[in-house]
Amino acid sequence: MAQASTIELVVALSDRAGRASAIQALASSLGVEAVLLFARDPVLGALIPAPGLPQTLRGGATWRAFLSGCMITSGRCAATVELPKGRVRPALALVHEGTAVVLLGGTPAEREVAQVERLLPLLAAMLSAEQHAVLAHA
Amino acid sequence: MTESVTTITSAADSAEAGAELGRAVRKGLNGAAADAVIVFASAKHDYEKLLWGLAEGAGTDVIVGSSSAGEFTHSSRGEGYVSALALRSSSMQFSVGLGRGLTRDSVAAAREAVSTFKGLTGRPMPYRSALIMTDALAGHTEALVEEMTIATGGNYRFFGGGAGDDGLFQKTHVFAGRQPVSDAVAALEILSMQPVGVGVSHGWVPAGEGMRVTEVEGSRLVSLNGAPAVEAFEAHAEATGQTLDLASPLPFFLHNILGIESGDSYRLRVPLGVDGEGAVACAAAIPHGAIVRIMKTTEASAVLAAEQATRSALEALGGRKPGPALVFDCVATRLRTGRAFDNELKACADLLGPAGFVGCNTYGQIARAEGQFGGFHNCTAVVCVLPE
Repeated sequence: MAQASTIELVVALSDRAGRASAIQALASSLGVEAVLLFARDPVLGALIPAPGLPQTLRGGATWRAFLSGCMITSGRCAATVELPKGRVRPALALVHEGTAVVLLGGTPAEREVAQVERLLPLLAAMLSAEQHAVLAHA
Repeated sequence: MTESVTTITSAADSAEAGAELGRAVRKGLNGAAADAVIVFASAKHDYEKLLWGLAEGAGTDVIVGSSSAGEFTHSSRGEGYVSALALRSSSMQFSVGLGRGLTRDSVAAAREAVSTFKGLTGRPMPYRSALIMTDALAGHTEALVEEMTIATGGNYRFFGGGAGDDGLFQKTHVFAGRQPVSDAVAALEILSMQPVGVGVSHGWVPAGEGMRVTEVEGSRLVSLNGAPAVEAFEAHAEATGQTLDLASPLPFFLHNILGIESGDSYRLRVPLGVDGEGAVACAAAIPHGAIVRIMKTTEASAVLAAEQATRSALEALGGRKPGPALVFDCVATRLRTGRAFDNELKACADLLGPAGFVGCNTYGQIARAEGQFGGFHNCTAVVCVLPE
């Protein structure tokens, strides 16, 4: 069976039920240790974990500062962060319109990162609508 | 016409305490038996002996109440006491309800508790209310109030709270007749010719920015904005120059509680402790997806809140003269304000009628009435004024 392309793996993130496994497959494909996905809270403006993914991230001060920075950034944001606590590694955030894809650890190929970036507007629109719906229901 | 007796005892012997209350009731009612007695007792007591003595002395088994965490009347208060309100009335009717097995099935417990309500099958009197005392340590309190509202068709005003145990948070009991029961809800149905007034208020205001509840397990608040909940409290402590000792966080938490956004007000939750994962245990459940803020208050605010709750309850009587009242406030409020809690009770006493009031410090407060902020609360004053 052929390996799924980066495009297919990003598209798979649109399915909330399969998002947790899709994001692991994407991390593996990109050559990073983990991929995290955040969507802007429509009321508070904070970046919070996307629905269907772990909702609690136990990081250190560098992680908190990095995520805060992503809230006021568009494009790429890179730093060395402590996540989880006690583990320091590089992080690269791809940010668009209140959605952030964070690539944690490893050295992703530029070509694959660019593909994720190209799909980010679509993912951001979809996640924004989903976040609105989930929080309205809550 | 309604006759009432408010009484309190510091007797340490439970049988003697029950008998002493019973004698006070008989004396206050000129030798007649009470129609109903509401009683709150410190966890130091043997409840069976206490209730037996009270029932024998007051001449009724229509008894509802709970263990508590501070007992008071309009003229006295203390810890380790028993307070009671006895009623004898030609314009009110009373019946006792008990729902067991809250932990197993709160819906079934709620339905069982109201199954004896006479106002559900007929309408012998125009106004329907109920005192609700629940074992808050069993959880499901918010759902319980909701289910009792549904089971009574939304036609009852509810007031009351969560049973206490002198602040130990180990085991609490509700009283129904002569039975002390854990993992249960007890109800005193009150059918009346005139309305019962219920008022609710707290004096807390937001002290921080809104945060989203991203992970929660009942009353265990796991994360806010995707980070361990304790981090929000740590950041708030640092920003406001307060000390948060994670090994002993209660002193900080008593002054920094959580407010759940609810329309134009806040439903309060008292944090109690922090676990190894940075989750914060709260005194009652918090809904997933809610927006919460860290809240602050002052002693003066607590007094103003008690006044406001009392005024609201009196206004709900529609100009009629007030009879005896019941006052509930959080054990956290008493622990936070210390001796200044007397000022809160004095504020209630100054506004209420000569019939006075009986009450206790609870683990959460219950209120459900038109125009009032309903549901299950923490750190909130709930006042119920019975008709004269």
